[in-house]
Amino acid sequence: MVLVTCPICGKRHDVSPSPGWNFVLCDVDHGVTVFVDGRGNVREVHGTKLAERGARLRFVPGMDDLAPTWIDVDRIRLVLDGTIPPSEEDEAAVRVLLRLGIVRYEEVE
Amino acid sequence: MSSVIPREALQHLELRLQGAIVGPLEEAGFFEEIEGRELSALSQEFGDRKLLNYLLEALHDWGYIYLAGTKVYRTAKRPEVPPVVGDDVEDFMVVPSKVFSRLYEAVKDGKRPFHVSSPENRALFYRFMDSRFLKMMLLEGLRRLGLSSIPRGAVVADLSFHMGVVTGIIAMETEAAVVAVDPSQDMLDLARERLNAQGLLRDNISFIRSAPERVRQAVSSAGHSVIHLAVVAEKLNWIRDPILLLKNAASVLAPGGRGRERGYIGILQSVWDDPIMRGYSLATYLMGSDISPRRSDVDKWLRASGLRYKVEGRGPMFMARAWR
Ligand SMILES: [Zn+2]
Repeated sequence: MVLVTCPICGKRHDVSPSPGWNFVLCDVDHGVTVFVDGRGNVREVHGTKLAERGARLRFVPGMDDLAPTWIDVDRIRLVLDGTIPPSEEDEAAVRVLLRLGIVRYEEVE
Repeated sequence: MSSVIPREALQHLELRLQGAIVGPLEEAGFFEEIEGRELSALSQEFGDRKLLNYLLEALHDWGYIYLAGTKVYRTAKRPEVPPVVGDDVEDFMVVPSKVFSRLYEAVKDGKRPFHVSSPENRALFYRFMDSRFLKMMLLEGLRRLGLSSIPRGAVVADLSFHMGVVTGIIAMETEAAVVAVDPSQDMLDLARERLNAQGLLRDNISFIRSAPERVRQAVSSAGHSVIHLAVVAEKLNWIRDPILLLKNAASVLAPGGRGRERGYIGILQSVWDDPIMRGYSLATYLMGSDISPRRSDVDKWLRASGLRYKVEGRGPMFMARAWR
């Protein structure tokens, strides 16, 4: 586990160091996106607001048809848009999608 | 999840798989390339000879090519479109359609562009294992192998894993302790999150980072000494040494006697002999597995592992309980 501090509110989180993008939900409206390299080192930490413009999580175009069948993609879209607050299951689903490369962290104007 | 797959759906699936294989090969000019050629000459010209051989065998048995002496010729047969295709078949075909679009390239150049070892192909393989059809097939098989009657106090080792798809099925079907084993921490985390997302995570499920062959260490680091069921589902075509896996799993099985049930290995395996599994097998090969073993290979591996076994089903997957 690696301890990361949320750039938005300062809350601390334990993240299991899996290579690639990891997402931890921090509060109802934001989370922390962490990039871990192949050796388990944290390389990037971003505060990710779900609702507002700025850094955010989005479905990768052309990958949404590969989303696992048990994930309600329409619901997760609403979660990522900030339209509905995520449940614990939604957060886990977002982490699954991030690990699979179906959802990714994006900087938006 | 329904537990019985209608035979008709399997036949439709096979027709769709044949179409997904033959169509792109036609477009790539594969049939013109092999027309009237000697088999031995062809194997010099293709990068993946193993794939070529299995592909030719499938095309031959499906009736798309025939042999005259040692030369290959195309028949008049063209892929049939099944009359009504169910949702489950369409859902299953998402991934095979994609991987077979580059089948020619794979057989010609000997490259597997959809190999699951590349992170960008993870989603593809996950989606494949996660298709309703495959999950139904796994569920039906595992039920036939007695998964649902494993009691709460028992231990089930998931030596198959497949990114946690098999673990999810086990967690749904039994309240027994589950030890999910995989060498990749990343995949174990993914599996944990899957179970979490599905509301199936509970305290008696352990995710152990280990090669499945090192099952004894994995089980003991989860705090157990024996297992009552070792699930080996669609795994024998994914590991280097199936005999070692079976032997090692057998060595941790709970001994029977005095009213206690003897532990066993539940084997669920697609076999090349079943025509319905050939398209499926070629698709998984393109994503990194070996071609599904022949039924005789599975028999040979079981015997070489010193196991006794009882066959529980033969189609579309081979199913057996094995014990010491
Ligand atoms: Zn925060």
